[in-house]
Amino acid sequence: MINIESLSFAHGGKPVFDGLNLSLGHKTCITGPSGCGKTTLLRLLAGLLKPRSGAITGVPDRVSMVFQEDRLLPWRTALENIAVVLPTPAEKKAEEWLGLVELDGLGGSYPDSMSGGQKRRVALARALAFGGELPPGGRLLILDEPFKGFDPELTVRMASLILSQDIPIVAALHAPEEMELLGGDLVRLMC
Amino acid sequence: MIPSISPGRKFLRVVSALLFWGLVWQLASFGVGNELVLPQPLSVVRRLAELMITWPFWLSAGQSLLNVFAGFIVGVSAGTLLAFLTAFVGAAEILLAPAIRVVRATPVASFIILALLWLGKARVPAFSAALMVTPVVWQAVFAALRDTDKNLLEMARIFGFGRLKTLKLIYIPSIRTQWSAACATSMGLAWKSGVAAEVICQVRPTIGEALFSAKIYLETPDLFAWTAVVICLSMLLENVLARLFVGKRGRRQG
Repeated sequence: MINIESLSFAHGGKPVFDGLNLSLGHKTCITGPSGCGKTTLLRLLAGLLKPRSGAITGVPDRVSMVFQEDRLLPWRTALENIAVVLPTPAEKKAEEWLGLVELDGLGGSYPDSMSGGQKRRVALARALAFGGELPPGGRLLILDEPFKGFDPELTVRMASLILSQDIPIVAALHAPEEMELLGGDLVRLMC
Repeated sequence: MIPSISPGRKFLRVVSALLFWGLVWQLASFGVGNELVLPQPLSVVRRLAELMITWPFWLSAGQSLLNVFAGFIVGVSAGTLLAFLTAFVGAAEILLAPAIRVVRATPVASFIILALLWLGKARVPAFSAALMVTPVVWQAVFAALRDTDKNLLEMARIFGFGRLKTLKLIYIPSIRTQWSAACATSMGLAWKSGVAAEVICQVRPTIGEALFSAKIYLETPDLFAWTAVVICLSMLLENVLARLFVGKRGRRQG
């Protein structure tokens, strides 16, 4: 269980959170209007931002993330982008992950030659693959709009792949149907 | 996007440009009418051919090539290392940034004369070449490091890349393009300063020393011939480097 206690955070002097208290379960979907702090909250959970005051406790050591942007290494192939987060030898395992996100045969492609949805799936595979050697409870998967660029059928299949890993999840989502697919608790942030 | 040109067309363009400037040179030479002031292109080509069949020519060209290349390698290495130091060590930026700017603004002749006192004349050409190359490479690499994609660095942090892995997977690919361009640019500078040092210090046997002799004895065709040798060697090295970088890139660039 992740606990957020009296969390305050400001962006350039403008307060985003002021004394936020929250308990996150095994699966939590965060929603709310654009600019209300969903990504900021995910970044605070990942340790990429430091709160001005308050505390976040119970975050596992191994945090993995699908960022709002794909953040793939442009000079590495799809396969290599996954392999770089795996312990060596990583190629076989990375190929398996590519298969799971339905990108068989695209391992040698570079990000700039892939579609938005394909890149998103590589980013998803990378996040799921990271820390795979640990028990699921020892990890946390943070997802920032993970289904961006997917059609509805693909969204269903990718949501089911995420759920099959049984990793604790915190996801920022916009569409109600995506929240329904992932399930879990729903946190609505207000601006 | 600039359309690509076929090799045949490219060759034709180069030959046309050479013929055009050769003609301009020839006409200017006719106009001046004095071989001591502006020799004819054919006199220069003839003199170059005469020089090329002598052993001292190759010895001088080889020695200059060695001087400039040694200085270039030292300059590229120093510029790259200092750029990393400047980018990652706060105190280093405070100390190094102004020092490198001073080096860049100082006339090369001042350094050559000082180095002559400090190092002895044999080492001055390589030293002055290195001194010209270092700031160019430093500036390019430092800027590239500063502009490294922060999103990728954050990604590296999340996925637990260590320092070496981040260096290999993010920083090095990010600086490669600017680094290659800086190397190509600084090659010309290395030749200019290296040969200038050879002229001032009269290092023997070198192209600079041959240029100095040509000046003393008013052998203008020799001066032009040796200058042509410097231009050819500089272009040759630049081409070799460009091919090396393209080969190394292989797949994709940062």
